[in-house]
Amino acid sequence: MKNRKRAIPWLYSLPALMLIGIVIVFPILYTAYISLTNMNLYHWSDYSLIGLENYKRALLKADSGFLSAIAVTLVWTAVNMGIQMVIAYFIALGLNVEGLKLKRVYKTLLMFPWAMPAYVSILLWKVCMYNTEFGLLNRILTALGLSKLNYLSENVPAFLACTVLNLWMALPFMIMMIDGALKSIDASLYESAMLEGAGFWQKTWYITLPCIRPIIAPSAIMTTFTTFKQFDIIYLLTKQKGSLTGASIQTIITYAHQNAFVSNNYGLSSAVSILIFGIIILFSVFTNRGLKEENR
Amino acid sequence: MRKRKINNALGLTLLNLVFIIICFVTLLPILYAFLLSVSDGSSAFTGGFFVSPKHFTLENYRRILTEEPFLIC
Repeated sequence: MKNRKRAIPWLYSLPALMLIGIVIVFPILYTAYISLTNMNLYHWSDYSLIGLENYKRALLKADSGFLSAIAVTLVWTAVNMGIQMVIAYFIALGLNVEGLKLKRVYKTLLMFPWAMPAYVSILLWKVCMYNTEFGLLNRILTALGLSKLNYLSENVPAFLACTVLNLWMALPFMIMMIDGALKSIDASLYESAMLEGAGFWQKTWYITLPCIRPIIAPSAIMTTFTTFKQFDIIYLLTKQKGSLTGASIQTIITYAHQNAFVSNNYGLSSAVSILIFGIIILFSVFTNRGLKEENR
Repeated sequence: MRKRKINNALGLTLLNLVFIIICFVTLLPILYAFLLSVSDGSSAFTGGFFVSPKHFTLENYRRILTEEPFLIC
């Protein structure tokens, strides 16, 4: 009887568990298996186990490109998150100024980029803004009498172009989050601070930031994750199949993609994927613990 | 008191202006795509930003609704 009671919940959740097993757990395990083999263009079906050779190649050989891809990804995440938080904070502050009657209109307009499918907005930017011949930016430059620039052909301009696009796509979410958090602050705190004679920066530092931190932290972490594993922007802007632009910035995700589907080196790509998986798991454990301590 | 009121109004106007500029810059790509959609093919390649009445056309919309498999496949 007792055994049966214990078994029945498992029986009920069996279909869901099976689905999760097939869709999530099996691919991860299979990727881990492939990462230990030398499956590549020369060994499609006759691949064999080669141990940790792929990991060694990814981590220890400097010219494999993985380490520089990690560096680029970290810089990318840091730059994007920093700029995004600061700009979103100030725009949200502006939206919360008393007496601003059109704030709803502005909010709706600022939501626009977020409501568009990522694929559409990336290609929209690629064709309408960054294109060398009829992109808007180059049209403005020629109208001002300057020479045309090629935004996506070199690494640094392409990185900046991707950053601008990512900001354009991700800012609305951050603005809405901070805006909501700012609304939840008790106005009496500001009143008493004003009586004490606190300035703008003091109010920001001692009242606003501590008050909005519990709300901002989860959304900041979420955005950090999506920025860290950003693939669409860099891939579609610079290295879409058939329209390579010349820039060779690689984040770790595009690096894994390129090794798997361009140079057909499945073993190395799987090793890289497993490493990324490990990094993300570590990061999420770390941030979960940080959040828990904050709530105490 | 009155000076303060004027200052306040000035600040709000400035803020509104800033927000209008921000919104305009944000919507610029979408706006530009829209302008291209109502201009004929030649003006997309020659200079000038805005659709002059000479180049205004709804031909693109007619084509996508009737000739391309967009409405009914």
